[in-house]
Amino acid sequence: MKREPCDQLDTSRYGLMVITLVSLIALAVMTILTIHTHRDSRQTTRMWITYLALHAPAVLPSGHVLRDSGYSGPAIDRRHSPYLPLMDFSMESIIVGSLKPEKGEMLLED
Amino acid sequence: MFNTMQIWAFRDLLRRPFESLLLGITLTLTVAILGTLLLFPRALHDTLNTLLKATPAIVLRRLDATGFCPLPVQASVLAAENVVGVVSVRPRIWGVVNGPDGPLTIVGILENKIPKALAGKLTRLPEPGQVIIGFGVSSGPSANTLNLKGEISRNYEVVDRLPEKTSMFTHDLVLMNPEDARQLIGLPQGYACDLAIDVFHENEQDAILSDLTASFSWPVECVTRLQSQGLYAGRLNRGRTLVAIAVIPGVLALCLLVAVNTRKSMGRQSDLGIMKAMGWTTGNIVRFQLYRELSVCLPSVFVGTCLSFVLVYGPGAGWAADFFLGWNTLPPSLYLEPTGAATVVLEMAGLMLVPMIASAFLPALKGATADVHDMIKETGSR
Repeated sequence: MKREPCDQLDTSRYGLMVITLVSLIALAVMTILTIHTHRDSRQTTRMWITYLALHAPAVLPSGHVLRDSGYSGPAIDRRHSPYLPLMDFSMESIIVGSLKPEKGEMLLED
Repeated sequence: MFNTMQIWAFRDLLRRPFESLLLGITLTLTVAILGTLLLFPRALHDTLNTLLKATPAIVLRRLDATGFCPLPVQASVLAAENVVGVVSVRPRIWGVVNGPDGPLTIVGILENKIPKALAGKLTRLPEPGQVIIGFGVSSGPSANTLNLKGEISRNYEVVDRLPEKTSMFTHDLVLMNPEDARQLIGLPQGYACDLAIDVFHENEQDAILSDLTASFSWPVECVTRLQSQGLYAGRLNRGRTLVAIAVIPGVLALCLLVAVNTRKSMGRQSDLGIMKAMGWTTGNIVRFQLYRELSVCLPSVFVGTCLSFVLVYGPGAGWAADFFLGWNTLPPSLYLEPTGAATVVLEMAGLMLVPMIASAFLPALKGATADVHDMIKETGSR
């Protein structure tokens, strides 16, 4: 009875090649879909930026520290508020109106 | 398909299948983690740089002793339009107010009709008492109303939501009628918060600043698009420092892997001795070692790189953003820039493949001048 030679791998089914081919095709399809989705996302975002004349992204912390959970909920940290003193970085003071005294309170004076 | 030398290398790997498998898995995970750490800030930087190009060329604000203050619309627009190089001037009404779960950015929409570009994306503009909210805005106990507190406190009806894919800029936005916005931030009639100015040419941004400042009869501050890009690049660099700290354990893991691989390879001198005794040349052994290492390292680097791509670009870097930057609910859609991503892939491939393959060459080089008998006598895993 003839014995199978030991010095070669069984490549008759080309299993490895088929797996590689399928993986590459899947990867290519995924890449094309991702690029398409991102292109659409980018165009939509740019349209909204232009329409609303936005100039500050919502995702980057703009204070002196990175965002932390103490910044109350999912909302974004400060952007450049038009009503705030230039050097005031406290979170409480960036809410419009919070720099002004409540009704009945007196302004602090030096 | 495979030559004899490659088949020998495969068979040698299969002599210790679990060891090879573990090495492959470890390499894959190390590449995936390191790749993600390197790709994430790159993707963020590319994305922001791309999007910031759509922002106004110059934002002009009025200053007084207390800081920024409202500017009169008519006089300001007239003054800005008289400056040579200015293409369009748009007053903006916006501010930061308190929402149910924290601060929100409100924007008053000044235009009367929906622009053609957004015809399919926006069905109607907010009427008085109505708002359109960003994806990250939680409307509180009721899904249809939003309570906002600024100069006044009032409930608004939520009529629409901004698309999630625009979250990079619109996550915390609340769009509303300009009159509502005025009331909420206490802005007098006929005044705006600032001006968004566009110029004809990119280079004019800096060139016309002095003319622009001189055309106003009160002190103003101008921020150009280039300055904004620099500002955000600086902030991203701070984030990158944090990422670099996270990369250190990854590099340490890689060093340990290389050390283990070198030790393991050096312990196989007896195997190499037998090969030399059978007539293999040093060149043959070097090729054998090369095939052996590549058949583990190449698939690992490939799979690991794909994993990091999917983690960063695929589903949106929600988890990475949460882990590294603390964005709790934001799913930013990061954009793939082929040039930047290719650089990172090459970095990763070089970082992993070169030391791993070098560690496999050491025993072959050591065995090149060694006596075959001495090599066979050395303890090894035959």
